[in-house]
Amino acid sequence: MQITVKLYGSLCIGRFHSAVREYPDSSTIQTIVTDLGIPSEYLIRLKNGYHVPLEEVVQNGDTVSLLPMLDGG
Amino acid sequence: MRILSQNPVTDPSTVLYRRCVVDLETGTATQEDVPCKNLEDVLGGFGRSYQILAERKISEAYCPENPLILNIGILTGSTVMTGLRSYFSSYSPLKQSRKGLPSAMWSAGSGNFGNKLKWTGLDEVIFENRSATPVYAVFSDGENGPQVEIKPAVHLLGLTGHEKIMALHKEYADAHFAVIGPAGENFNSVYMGAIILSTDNQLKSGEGKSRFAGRGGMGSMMGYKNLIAIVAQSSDKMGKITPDMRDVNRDVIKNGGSARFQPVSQGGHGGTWANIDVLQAFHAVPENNFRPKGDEDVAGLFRPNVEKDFDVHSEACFRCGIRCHNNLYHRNADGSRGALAAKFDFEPLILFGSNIGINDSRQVTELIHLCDYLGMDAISLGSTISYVLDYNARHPDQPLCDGVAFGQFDQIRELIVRTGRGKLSEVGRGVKRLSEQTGETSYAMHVKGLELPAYLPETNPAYAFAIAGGHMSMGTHMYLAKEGKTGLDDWVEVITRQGLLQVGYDMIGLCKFVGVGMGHELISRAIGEATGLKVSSEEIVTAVRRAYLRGLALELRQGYEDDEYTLPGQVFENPNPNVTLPAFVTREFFARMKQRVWAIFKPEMEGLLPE
Ligand code: SF4
Repeated sequence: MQITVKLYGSLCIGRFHSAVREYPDSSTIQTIVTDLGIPSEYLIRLKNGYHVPLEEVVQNGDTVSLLPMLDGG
Repeated sequence: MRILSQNPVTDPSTVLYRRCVVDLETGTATQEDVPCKNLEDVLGGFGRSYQILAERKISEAYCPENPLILNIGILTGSTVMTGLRSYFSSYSPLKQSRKGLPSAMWSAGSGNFGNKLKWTGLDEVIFENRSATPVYAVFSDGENGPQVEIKPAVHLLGLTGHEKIMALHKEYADAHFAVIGPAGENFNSVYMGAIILSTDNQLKSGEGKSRFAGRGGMGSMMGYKNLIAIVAQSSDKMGKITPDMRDVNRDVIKNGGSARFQPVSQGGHGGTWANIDVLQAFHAVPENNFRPKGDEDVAGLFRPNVEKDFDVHSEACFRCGIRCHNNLYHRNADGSRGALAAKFDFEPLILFGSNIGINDSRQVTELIHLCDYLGMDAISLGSTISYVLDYNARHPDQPLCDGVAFGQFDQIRELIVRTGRGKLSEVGRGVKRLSEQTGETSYAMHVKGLELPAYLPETNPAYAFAIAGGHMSMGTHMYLAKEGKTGLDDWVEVITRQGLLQVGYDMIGLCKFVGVGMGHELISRAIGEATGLKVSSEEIVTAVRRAYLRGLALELRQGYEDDEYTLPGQVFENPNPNVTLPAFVTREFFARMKQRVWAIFKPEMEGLLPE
């Protein structure tokens, strides 16, 4: 199935900003994170604009956004 | 600090800290070893200073009885990485209840000044009264203990903060400095004066790489006391790093929390600057006075775009491996690195950028630099200016400040200079007072009289419970963007549990960018290794919670009423459809949240203040 993956901030470095990628059925956010070699800690994960856990299953046509979880100071 | 036993919880009086009281009126100083009363005293910072402030009944900030307290945390000057913070506490000229009583405030800063103060042998200085003439105070490590001198400071008047530091550095080569800028000198017109702290990088390079204790007008308090600078002079006395301490420091660097603030080249996310990418994904970057437009104008401030114009270099405070500073340098004609332009942190970047309609990084750097040199709090100044610009957009026929408008760089620049030089008190006294004068308060971005940082109030209802700066004393400013949580239970829980523990870093002397919660074993390990004291994570959390609640109780004692625990009216009256995060902060939600938070806090607050 096809998933649009969007990356933000330093997560783009050496990867991409936005790409449509192929994943097997029943893939989760964790599948995508692992595939891209992004540490799953301190990560904001959105599916179609909504916050979701790593275990969230994705479906064909979904958009997954991954953002670094920062903080202020 | 003298430590006579290992258990500061059951026997806090066996830990004694060295206090110096300076009477600025007479120019005399006394010193004593003070036994700690509780674990907050032992940990230090605002946990200790607020207990001193609570003993005084102060009805106006600018009065001789209002002390300015300089202290450090238990880990300041230790071998724990980032352990270099110093704290300034007083009743604030800026933050004031509707009854007109000043609120207690503290402000924290890095640099190497805190370490040097610790190495003079002092843990705390209380400045009493005010000097009739401008002076500076010198604390040094004499043969028989800490020494104090009060000296005339007329020659420093009118200089920028950086110029004062470099002038003093010529005279005191092995010292570090806390100074005020022209803004603090003009304390009657400027209530948002910052204290400017020197760094090793600054003294070596001669460039203005200071750090700031900005919030709450502590620099204006210094100005009121006619105390123009503080010198902490000592040889470096950094202890030997033990193998266990090496492990602590490795964990400071390796824990995922701090890794976020490390340079991109080090595998981190590049400091707080990167927040702009995250928040823009939700169109939640403040623009035009905290009113995101739903467009991509802020992209000019994204790192890759800024790097086209500037050489961006990661630097650090003394011995810090987190290296969160992003210093921007001009490029010479041959492509080599030129002079320092400014330091890019999220707050000043947004508040002197998109939030005042400026998205050209060259202009933003100039405004940041100017604010720093004049010695004002970037958050208070930036949020007050954006109010002026917003007001003018709504009232083109009767504008404020000569009609300056969003995006007008030259006019805004002039406005900053006039404010910092004491010529524009309507801006220098902050947005609460200004909006009360104009009668238009709903878009004045402050809570309880203290201007908001660059995180939208509609994404953080917990601002109401921050006691000393919206994001420095309540760790919920990114909660919605990070977790997406909008439930009442979630917000009550985050405020009353993790959120308030943010203030713990302003007790122990470490930097918040260590990135772990106060309940993390790393904190108790660091204290144990640096001091020999045995204190558990639970005990630290309990003491931090008490210190926070004491601060909240002190606000109530200074006259804050329930309806002052609120957000700018615009949040409820006119939600911004451009922000793609859920709009959940209705009046009803907010009232119920407050009721439940107070129900938890109020019983615990009983007995925390002296009778
Ligand atoms: S994390 Fe940043 S601000 Fe904190 S001590 Fe290190 S370099 Fe300084």
